[in-house]
Amino acid sequence: MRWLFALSLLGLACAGDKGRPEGGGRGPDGGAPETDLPDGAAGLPDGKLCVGTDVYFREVAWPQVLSQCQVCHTTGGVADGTRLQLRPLASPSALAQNMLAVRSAMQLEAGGEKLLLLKPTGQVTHRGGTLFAPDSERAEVLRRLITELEAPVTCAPVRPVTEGVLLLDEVDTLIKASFQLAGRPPTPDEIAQVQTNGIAALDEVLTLQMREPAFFERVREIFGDVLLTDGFRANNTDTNEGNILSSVLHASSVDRFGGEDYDWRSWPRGEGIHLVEALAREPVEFFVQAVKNDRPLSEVLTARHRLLTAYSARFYGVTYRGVAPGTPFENIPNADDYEVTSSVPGINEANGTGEYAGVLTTPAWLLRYPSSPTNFNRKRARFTLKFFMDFDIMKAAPRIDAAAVDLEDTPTLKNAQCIGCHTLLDPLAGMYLNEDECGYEGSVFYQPPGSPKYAPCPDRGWTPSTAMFPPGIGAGAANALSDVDRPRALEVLGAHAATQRGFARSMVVGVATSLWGRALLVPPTDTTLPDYVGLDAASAAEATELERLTDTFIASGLRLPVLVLEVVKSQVFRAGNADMIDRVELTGLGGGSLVTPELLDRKLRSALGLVWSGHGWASSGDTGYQSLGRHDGTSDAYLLQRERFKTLYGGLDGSFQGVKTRSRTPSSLTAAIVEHLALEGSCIAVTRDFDAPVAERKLFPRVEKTVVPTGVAATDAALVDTIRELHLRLLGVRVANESEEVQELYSLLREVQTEGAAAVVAGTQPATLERPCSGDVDLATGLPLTGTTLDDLYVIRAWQAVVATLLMDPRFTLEK
Amino acid sequence: MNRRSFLSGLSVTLWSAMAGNRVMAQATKARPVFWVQLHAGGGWDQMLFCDPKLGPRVSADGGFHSASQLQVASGIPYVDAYSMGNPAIRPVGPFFTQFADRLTVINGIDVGSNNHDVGVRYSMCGSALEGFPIFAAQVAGVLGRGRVMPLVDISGYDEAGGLTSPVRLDYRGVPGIVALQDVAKPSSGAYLHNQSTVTAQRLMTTQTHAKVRALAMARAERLQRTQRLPGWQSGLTAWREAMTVSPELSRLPVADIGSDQLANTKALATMGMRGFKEGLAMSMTISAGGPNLDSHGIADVDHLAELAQVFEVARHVLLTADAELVPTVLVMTSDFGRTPVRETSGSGHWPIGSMMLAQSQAALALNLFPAAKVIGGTTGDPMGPNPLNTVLQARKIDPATHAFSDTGVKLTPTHVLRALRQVAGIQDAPELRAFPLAIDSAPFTLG
Repeated sequence: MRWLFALSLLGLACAGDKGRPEGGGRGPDGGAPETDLPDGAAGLPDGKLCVGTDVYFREVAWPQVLSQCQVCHTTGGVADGTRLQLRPLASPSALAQNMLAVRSAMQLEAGGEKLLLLKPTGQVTHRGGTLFAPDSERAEVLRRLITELEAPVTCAPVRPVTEGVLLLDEVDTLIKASFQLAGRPPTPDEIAQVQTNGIAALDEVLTLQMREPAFFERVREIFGDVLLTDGFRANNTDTNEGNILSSVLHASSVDRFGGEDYDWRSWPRGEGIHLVEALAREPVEFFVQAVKNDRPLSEVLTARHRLLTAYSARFYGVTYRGVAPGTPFENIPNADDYEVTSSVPGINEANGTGEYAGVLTTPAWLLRYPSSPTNFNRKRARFTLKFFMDFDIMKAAPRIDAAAVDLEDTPTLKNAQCIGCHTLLDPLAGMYLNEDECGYEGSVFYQPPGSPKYAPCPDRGWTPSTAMFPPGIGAGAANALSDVDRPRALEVLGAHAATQRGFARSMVVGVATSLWGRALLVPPTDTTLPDYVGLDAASAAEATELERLTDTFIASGLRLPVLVLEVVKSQVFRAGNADMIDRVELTGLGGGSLVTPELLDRKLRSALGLVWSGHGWASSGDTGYQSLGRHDGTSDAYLLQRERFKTLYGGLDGSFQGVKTRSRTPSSLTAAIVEHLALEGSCIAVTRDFDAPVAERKLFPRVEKTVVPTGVAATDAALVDTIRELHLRLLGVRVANESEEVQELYSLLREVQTEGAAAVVAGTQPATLERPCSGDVDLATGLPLTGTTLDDLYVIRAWQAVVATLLMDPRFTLEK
Repeated sequence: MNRRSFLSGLSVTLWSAMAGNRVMAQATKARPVFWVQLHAGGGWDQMLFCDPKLGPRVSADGGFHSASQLQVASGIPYVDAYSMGNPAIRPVGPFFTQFADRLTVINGIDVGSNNHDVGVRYSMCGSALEGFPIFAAQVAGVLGRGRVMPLVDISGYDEAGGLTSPVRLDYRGVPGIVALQDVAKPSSGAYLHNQSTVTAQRLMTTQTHAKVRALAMARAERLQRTQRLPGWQSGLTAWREAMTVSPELSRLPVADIGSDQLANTKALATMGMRGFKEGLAMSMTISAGGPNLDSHGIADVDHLAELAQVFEVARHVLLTADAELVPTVLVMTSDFGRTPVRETSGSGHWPIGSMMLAQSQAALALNLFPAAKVIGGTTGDPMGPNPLNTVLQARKIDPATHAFSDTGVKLTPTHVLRALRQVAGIQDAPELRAFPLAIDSAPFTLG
């Protein structure tokens, strides 16, 4: 047996309350020689040792005892088929499986003693005979293993997660945050402000950025990713069947623009597209409104109103900014802006009562999480818990033993296996009683108790308590909904949920994971997994951080900008590098995730001045079946269209049958999209930037297209400076003129220019640029321009190569 | 990957460690089998096809209303399910008649849960843990390294646990892949104001493009040498691998997409299959069936209509594999089964379910595992009557002989997917060390 190991190479130590039980018996405290320790054991800060149960199993118990058991207790062995089955250690998962097998065998007892111990010591009948005496060293090993498996020992990193992590400085933090929040690089003034006043200046700079329209769009994306209500957006909607417009219709309460059919993409002037967008984005607009008006985020559940645009207001037949329904939209300025609408009869009100509870009473929310005659709103309740109360009831669900379920005796009300979840879930489901007919409704609108519902709801508008736990804000009679509150049940639920810590925490999780660029870590549960200890430490650190952020968020009065600032200034966001590789406990820190297509699109617009899109996007297309996005000028970019690259790149659409989670790791399709973008984007942007007045240039304010590189960098200061600045502008990276990164791009510039110019002279390359690289046409309108078409010096095409290389740099598409 | 999970982080470490600073550009030597997971989302009613139990839901509206519907094909009992109200929707019989000789039915699988999230994970991964990769991702992560589409995803659950980056073929975007097959070719222009906005054949000369590409790759490699955080390491490894293989997309046959969803799913499945044949893909996950599969309040006839879609996709995969001579194993699962009791109409969630494995002719020739076989089972009599309180409980079997045995094991998805790892030859792969499929019994084999 080999017990020698290099202690200094293993960064592990006992972990607090998960640590080794007292009197472990190994290492310096337990009597084993200090130099005779198992591989995988670990050093404590005080020089003592921690040996995890997995290590003890592998290095001590297996070779001394269990390997002998395995001779018979294995497939094909004499004891094949008995209740202890072990595998040879040859396969990688054998350790885990054998530990499980031993754990299972430990449950078998005779007279209160473990058969696992009684059998090999000959104290009960054992077909394999007596293998060792009850008081032998090997019996002691087995006893200790049993003790350990009952309370496994795990070891934690010697080095705290906060140690050895190199943080981005204040300027790099600003750069990263600016791209994330405002979708642009910071201005020189903003950088100077932070350089002068340090990290504290971030608050002021970023607070101002959070008033820019790009940030509001970011907010929509953050919460759209959570709620998935953006799945109803025009660009994400699959067909007319089941889309929000056809589902929300009912009776005669809505105006379908004079009776047009459900084919909303054919409504004149894109009015159907505007309407679909208005209805789909109403839930996430509640978050934006809270930010714009400096209100607590709890208003997303407590707002006593709807948010309507001119299009959705007309749909519902209500006034918009005092303008009567039916007024031509061209006569309504900013008709796509949402306005607070406190009364929507027929949809949210009936018979003199109504309910308005922010997101919860929007059709987009209710239809995204529909119900059925037997689901009874439980889906809505589940996602209310998950998205607004930070409780995933699916994780609380116990393992079901089908044999113990009596299907004929209302198991969700009576069976012990079922009521663990349903005591909480069903009351919340009942709080949606006014929005459908006992669970079922093809469209959603307010139907309080007493309404002539199609399906019978015999108990005051809901299913009887003999079939389902009654409505309430939680389990038990104390939380039950009163009769008087039944007509406004969702208002009661929203008001309750918004005051819970779970609400704040759910908001924190949504914001933090979006800015971190990854999902929450899942705490490891299998102590035998490789790297368990490091992963456990990372998970614990994340949990601590989330609680800290939640405290801060609550203390701020639930103000989103304060939360965002805290996330930005945190170690998780600012981690830039580590002092050594393979530190698993640092999983989750820093960048490396694929930026979203939406963020990448904003980067292109701000850094290059490029809208990467189909040509002619500004044309209206007012009749017939209309292309999406042609009516707001923003959703036409390739990276934003599901019909082009959005989902192929790794984005989501959120629709019922579509992609519901973002991919934050690049695939081959991502790589091809980025490469195509790099070649085409550089071709379009470089020429047009040179053609712009110097003061308006984004890429080349220091050089002209006539400046030919000499091949001696020291004499081409303007060129080298430009390359350095392009690193900052496109990658958010500060580099020196003398750096390898700048110098190699200067060499590329020179090489491509020299070879290209020679090819022009030789006639193997044209002296002129072709479209779309040439500047003689406006790609949006097709109108002629007087921009550059001649590149006889091959300078423009050489700069195109430089910019393309930078766009293909992973730092352009991976989070900093 | 619906999220980068903790386990993803773990495997990413593994991934980075294995890849080191090298990017594996050539395909790993792999067993020549295309693995396809076909998941019927929502929970299928196994009593209506592969686990017949007459009795609990007999009615004129039910799909199984008469003992005469019981059939046997290649030794596999099944229900020729249809509703009296609409006998035209009859998906089961044709499928079993055509493919029973290559089917392996596994009944009485205990998913241990009746919630969708857990059921999907457990059935497709063999583990209920979040972040655990689906089986197709396990195959892709071990055998598909260096392929341009290690894991093809057609609207399916595609958690990859960091083992690989799924290539999501959203049918709305798939036509756009054509534009990516030659990244140096300009996007389509428009003819505006009597002129075309695009006249160039290429955006950059081949020579310059090669220089740009090489330099970008070198810069990425240099960055990876200096970046030590796990997130950066995994991101850069994935980026470099993706960038290395992406030119291979030019060899990918891109499907024609129309307006019919079923036709699109089939077209994409063909695309994935041909991708495998071209050495571009390794495995595939497909989601089939619509919302009525989760048949609360839904009549059997509507459930059968959804099953028809599932079986049609399965049929298409198998026939395409036969036509293309691709050895293919189709792993058919659902979240769980459905209750034997009838609700208002339809049925609820039931933790005991079934899986089906189907092989193409080329796969059968490899003798991977026996076909035309039923493994496991549930309580109750196919001919009925079947009391609600006792029917459709999982029966224990001897994991080696498959004989029913009270001292045997109750099959779970872990047993089955662990056995499939063995078939795929990935059971000892170091990539899967972080994702053990541990069972508390002797190993279950497919025979």
